Amino acid sequence: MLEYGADESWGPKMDGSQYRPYYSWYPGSEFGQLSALTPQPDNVKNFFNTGINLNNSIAFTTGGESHNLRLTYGNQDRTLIIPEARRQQHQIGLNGSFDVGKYLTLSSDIAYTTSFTKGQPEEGYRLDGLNVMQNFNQWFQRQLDIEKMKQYREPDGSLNSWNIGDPNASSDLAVYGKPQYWDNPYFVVKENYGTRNHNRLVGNVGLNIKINKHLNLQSYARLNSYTNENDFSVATGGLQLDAFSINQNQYRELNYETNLTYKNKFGDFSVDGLIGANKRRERYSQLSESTAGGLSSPNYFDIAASIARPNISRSYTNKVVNSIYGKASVGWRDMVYLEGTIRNDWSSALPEEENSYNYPSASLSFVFTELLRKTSVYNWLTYGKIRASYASVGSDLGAHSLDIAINNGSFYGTNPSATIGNQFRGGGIRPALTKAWEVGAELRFFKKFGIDFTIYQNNNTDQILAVDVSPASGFTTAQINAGSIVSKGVEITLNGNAIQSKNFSWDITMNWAKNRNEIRELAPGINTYLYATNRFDTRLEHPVGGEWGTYYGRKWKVNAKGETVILSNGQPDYTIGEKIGTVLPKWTGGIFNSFRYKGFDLTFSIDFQKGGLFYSETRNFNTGAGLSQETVGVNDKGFDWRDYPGAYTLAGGNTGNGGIRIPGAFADGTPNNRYISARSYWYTARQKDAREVLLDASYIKLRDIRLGYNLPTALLQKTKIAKTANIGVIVQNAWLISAEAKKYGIDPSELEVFYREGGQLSATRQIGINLRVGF
Amino acid sequence: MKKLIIFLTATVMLYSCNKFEDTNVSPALLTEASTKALLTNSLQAMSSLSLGNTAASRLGAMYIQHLSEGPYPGPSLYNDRNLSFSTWYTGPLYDLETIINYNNAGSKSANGNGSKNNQIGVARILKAYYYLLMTDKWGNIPYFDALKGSTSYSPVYDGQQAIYTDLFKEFTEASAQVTSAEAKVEGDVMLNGDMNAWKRFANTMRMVMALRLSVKDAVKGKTEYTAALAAGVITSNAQNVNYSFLAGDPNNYNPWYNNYSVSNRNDYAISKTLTDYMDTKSDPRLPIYAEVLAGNIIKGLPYGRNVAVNIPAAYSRIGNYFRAAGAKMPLMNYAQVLFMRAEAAKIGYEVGGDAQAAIFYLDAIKASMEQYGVYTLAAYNAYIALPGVLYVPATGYSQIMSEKWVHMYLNSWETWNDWRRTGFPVLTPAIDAIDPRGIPKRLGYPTTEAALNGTNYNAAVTAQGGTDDNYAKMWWLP
Repeated sequence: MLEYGADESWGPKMDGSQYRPYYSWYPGSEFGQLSALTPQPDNVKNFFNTGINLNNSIAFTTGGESHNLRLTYGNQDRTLIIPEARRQQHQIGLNGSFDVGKYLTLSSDIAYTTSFTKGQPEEGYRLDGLNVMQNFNQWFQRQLDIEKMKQYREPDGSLNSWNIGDPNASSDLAVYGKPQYWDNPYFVVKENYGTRNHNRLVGNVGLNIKINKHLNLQSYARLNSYTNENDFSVATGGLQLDAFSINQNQYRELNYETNLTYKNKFGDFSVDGLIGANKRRERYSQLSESTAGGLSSPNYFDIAASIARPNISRSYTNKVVNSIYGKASVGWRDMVYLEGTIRNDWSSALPEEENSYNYPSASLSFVFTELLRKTSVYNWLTYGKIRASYASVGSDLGAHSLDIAINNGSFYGTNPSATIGNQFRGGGIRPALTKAWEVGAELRFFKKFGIDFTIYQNNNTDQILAVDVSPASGFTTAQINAGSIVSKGVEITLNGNAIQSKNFSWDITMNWAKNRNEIRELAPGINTYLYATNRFDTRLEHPVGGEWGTYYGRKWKVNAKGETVILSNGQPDYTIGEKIGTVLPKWTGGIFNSFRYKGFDLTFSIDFQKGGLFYSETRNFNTGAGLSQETVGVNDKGFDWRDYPGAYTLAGGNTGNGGIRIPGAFADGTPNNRYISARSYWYTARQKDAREVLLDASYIKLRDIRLGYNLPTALLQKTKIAKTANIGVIVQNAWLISAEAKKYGIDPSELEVFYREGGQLSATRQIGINLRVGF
Repeated sequence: MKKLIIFLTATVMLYSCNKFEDTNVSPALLTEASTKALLTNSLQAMSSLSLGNTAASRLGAMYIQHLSEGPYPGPSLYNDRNLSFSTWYTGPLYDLETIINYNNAGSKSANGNGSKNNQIGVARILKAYYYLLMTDKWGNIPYFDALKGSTSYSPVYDGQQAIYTDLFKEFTEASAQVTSAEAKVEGDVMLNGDMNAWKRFANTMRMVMALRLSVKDAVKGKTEYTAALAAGVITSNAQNVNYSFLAGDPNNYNPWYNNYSVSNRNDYAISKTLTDYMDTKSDPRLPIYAEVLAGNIIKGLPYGRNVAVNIPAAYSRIGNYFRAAGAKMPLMNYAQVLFMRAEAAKIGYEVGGDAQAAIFYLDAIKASMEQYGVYTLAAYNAYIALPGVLYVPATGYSQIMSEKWVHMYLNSWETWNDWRRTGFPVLTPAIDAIDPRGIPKRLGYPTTEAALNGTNYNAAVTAQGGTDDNYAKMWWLP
């Protein structure tokens, strides 16, 4: 009999022999029936839907000599590949301006968006069973047929699951029918989900006073605000305790800005100037509540249903940033431009004695081909510009984060509970400053081909970071002004009009970039920036003076001869904290092509990355749980390694033919002759070497492709309504052409974050039809 | 006019650019915590750190074979080499340090939460208790240089001997510092402000430490033992130190209840090693320790196999005494003290030799049965007459420690300490042990220490034999 309670796939061979599937243990017509033990190749196809995204928008404009007005409306209705997930959204926009007299113009721009989302899937590695993706590549059994699970309730209304207990241990359905670790995935997605109501209002009112030909005074008040209400329901009867949580938050940012601008021309010189001031006020508040101890009635999704005192938390931020700034630019004969800016900010989030910071910038560009117009060089070098710039940007930190936090614990009866926060904040935080240098050139040859290249370096000083420190200090992180962090790189873009004829044209653009980061100095006593930790002692670090984004982890131990050291039980010994490689790609790039033939146009873009590592939770458990194809195979004796390796003695080896032998040597140097079970190898031994889960992120991808057709104007004229019309077919995320990780079923161009993936919802290929009509 | 207003607005704004008054003060945040709330939190941390609320805190029960694993064997195969100590320092230890600091600084956050002596004394006892649990797991740890924030982001690791010396001092001084003559501590959810109970707890912990030195430094051990006993230890089941959980409060449920009944995970069953020992003796405590299955049977799960096994209905889970929502967790109790005294008599810390050891041993078994509510004179008499239980001087040491192992069910870390020191009870390591060296003798340091505190980490590893794994030796072992 199968181990129904196991959520791994190390069971008997799926050779079509008869077995009792889990559903044959539920009463009904299928009780006691046997079925063939075979793998199910269509589970993914059968479970996931084709998501549909409908996008409509319409705009009306009107205008006259002294006014104009534009009204837009759009809606989107989108379903995801997860059953039941859906978002509906509406946007209304209104903007316009009118002149009051000769000197004054008033304007306003308002956009309102409202959306409702249901069933946003849970992602990442979770122990609560709410990420159903884990059933496809982490924890599952390969003979299970997803189609069978659609009926997730029995006729009497009770829930069923593939992950039942042991019917031999008890004949009581209430005991053996209880799911062990996984509910039916259809129950999860259909009855355990969140909803989100989101409303956003963005707008401004402004006025412009034309003082004279050269001077303008502008003043604006801008608003960006939203309100959110999210909830999540965990239905009664599943593995998780039934629960309801709700989170309401609101954000409002107001900017009051006044600028005086100046514009003039003096002979060959053009002059632009601006001085201004801005006040930004941000306010955020949130109230989160969740039930505790279950719901008072089945599926009563409300805070009032909380059995015990509900958990309630509030957060609040309030911040003001005042700024004054100025800008001046001078141009000469459309050939040389020189621009300088200066800005000073005062932030309420910084300590009062350090709350002011200023940051200037300067840039120069020179179209040198203007000087060559009369020379022969101009025949081939038709445009040439060089540019250089220096820019600095100052920044602050989040509000209310200068003192060590006091966090509330859970009341014990009527006793309050509190703990000192885990981030050390010693005061004395200064504003951060980024100084960026950039030089570049843009050249065009024969008016057909162009090259643009840029070299840049960003010096970040006093960047405000929370870096990990030894927890024995009493804190896990320290708030610091990081001494010096530098990033530098090169970007090159080539573009060309390869073919141009009356009916056919081909344009191509290629870009290539390389970036390097370096931490030169953090703070006294801190010499590495521990960025992230993953399972099995894997960690991502930015060491001071070392390579940014270095992954460290376990490695199978090797002896002096380079052989893997095998313990007497056949398992590899391992060492920790070994350097594995870097997350940073060697370089990245892309190619964009555009073809046009008569009314047809075809565009597509390819992007690629060379090098870099990422951590893959999917591969970790896909192999560990025996789900992926690579866990099936024959050992070096030519036998199925999933067969039993048999008893072992050092002199006689294993009595069976199965199992896997790790090439290597015992401590005394004799070759390893011990076969271990397939699960011991794939699950246990492989967790001891991070190279198994730190995968190469190189890839080449056909990102998107679009084929369009312009309806002939002659045809449109007959309709007397539309002037232009274009119909197009778009495929996005079209094709992962090549990637090292592709053979493991993982797309490195669609990672959850740049250094890892943890079983997120699969990226999808999107196919769209687009109709543009101009009236 | 409009121009004028804009001009004035801009001017006023510029003049007040750097003044924000209380904009950066959040009404939703505190800047200082009340010491009673910090004490409550420091006590609540026990459930996650030592009593089974996290996978790491359950390792002791696997090592000492109180429990076996069902579907996901790993810890019982010694798969966990390096374990984090982060929450020990950043949780209770720093909170307790803060209680001491607030009191010494005369902060108003300490007002009304007990006398200064009592607040500091209790914080020192608890701090020493947590540190003792830590050093017995990891060996050398940051101690004198720890909990200092920016003063030392990478604290030095101290040798276990130095830590032990200081902990003896702490338990001794703190026990003398607390007094029932002054205002009791508030927020004490474990001993309810009973200052004499804190004294007994400190003295009993000192006694535990004294026995730990039995093989390394018996002279010092005996001196400390005698002093601890004279200072007053637990002398009845009524004085037992337990941490109580709250049946009606999901945030204060018993951790085993959380695991079995809230998370619906059935990862653990009582180990066959233990049921084999108890079953043959018809031990009346067994139905308390283990779930009784249909057919009135108790079935222990074979220990240490790399086979995924389903537990419900097939094997006995932990008994309700230990895993009800409001079940209390024993930290230190009378039977434990008596077992310690039996050992002390056996090894010469106390007078009376085997004759006195046998008396303490039998009293300990009786106190254990009484604690678990299964004592009857008939059952007790039948039990102590059994061969193997009946005290025999030649096997006395093993008997004392084996019976203590039974009594200390799920108080496994202390049992692990005893096993490492005495070798009793004799345990067979997991058949499918991932490391053939068998039952771990130590926990490895969190691997992030190599990055965050590299120099001190490397020095500590070198001082303990050069490999940061599960087999370096405690200082208190020969």
